[in-house]
Amino acid sequence: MTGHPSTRLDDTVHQRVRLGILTILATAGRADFTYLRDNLEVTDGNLGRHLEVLYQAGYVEIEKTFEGRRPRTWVSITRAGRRALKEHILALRQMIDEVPGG
Amino acid sequence: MTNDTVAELDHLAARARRDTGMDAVVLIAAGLLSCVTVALNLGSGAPGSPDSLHGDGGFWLEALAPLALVVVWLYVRWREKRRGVGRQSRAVAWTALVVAVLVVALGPFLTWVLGPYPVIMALVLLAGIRCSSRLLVAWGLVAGLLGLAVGMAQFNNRFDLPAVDLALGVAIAVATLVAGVVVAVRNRRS
Repeated sequence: MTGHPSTRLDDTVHQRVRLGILTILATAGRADFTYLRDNLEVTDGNLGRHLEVLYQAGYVEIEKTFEGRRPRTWVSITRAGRRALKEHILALRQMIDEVPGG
Repeated sequence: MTNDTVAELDHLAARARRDTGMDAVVLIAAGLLSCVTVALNLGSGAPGSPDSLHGDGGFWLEALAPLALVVVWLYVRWREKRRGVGRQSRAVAWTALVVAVLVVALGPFLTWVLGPYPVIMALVLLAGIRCSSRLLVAWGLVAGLLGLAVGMAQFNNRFDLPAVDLALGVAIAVATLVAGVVVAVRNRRS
């Protein structure tokens, strides 16, 4: 790998809420919409937009189920999502290491 | 990315780990299983020479261990639905199925010779490896090897220290249950 570590940062992952979503999913495997919304302290609409971006990038899978009459949305991380998060964190660590006193 | 963001991500990961952690449930299940087995062994021993590791408990373990695995699976499934996080129930179900078959197939011989701990702590060790939990791996190894040593010593009559063997057999069971409760209380407080 060559070039400055910042060139390896993934814009899709770097956004704060999306980084939070991937962190939770990488730890837990999957979570429902409510768990993500409550822990990330975002609105339904905001979370929905970020999930759509991650879904389009192939980093998460979204499964809509029904429990009785109540709809429930489960989100899980894909292999590509795990890899993207790992590489992003690696690039961030390298950047921090290059900062004097970092 | 600021220090605040890093701290926030650490916090999110720690909370997700806490909400999906298996340490408490596995230790409590193993502790209860151990306590019941030891109590049944003590109840069935010859008068005047109580044995915490050999007796009727070994026979009952073959039925109780698969039952405990089913209870753990049902609990984890219920917890996932209630909290809205985690996907261990599928892994628990498959592991439980494989382990239940092994326990029923190999358990009678192992428990008859070595006592219940090689079987029970093997389950803890397996859960620790599956869930990447250092606590469960360490507990499964240490308690399993200790229980194995005591069980072998008793079976061979190698050491004439029945009181020590008895105390160790009971202590492993109680310590496992207490450890599970302590982890559960700590998780609840954090």
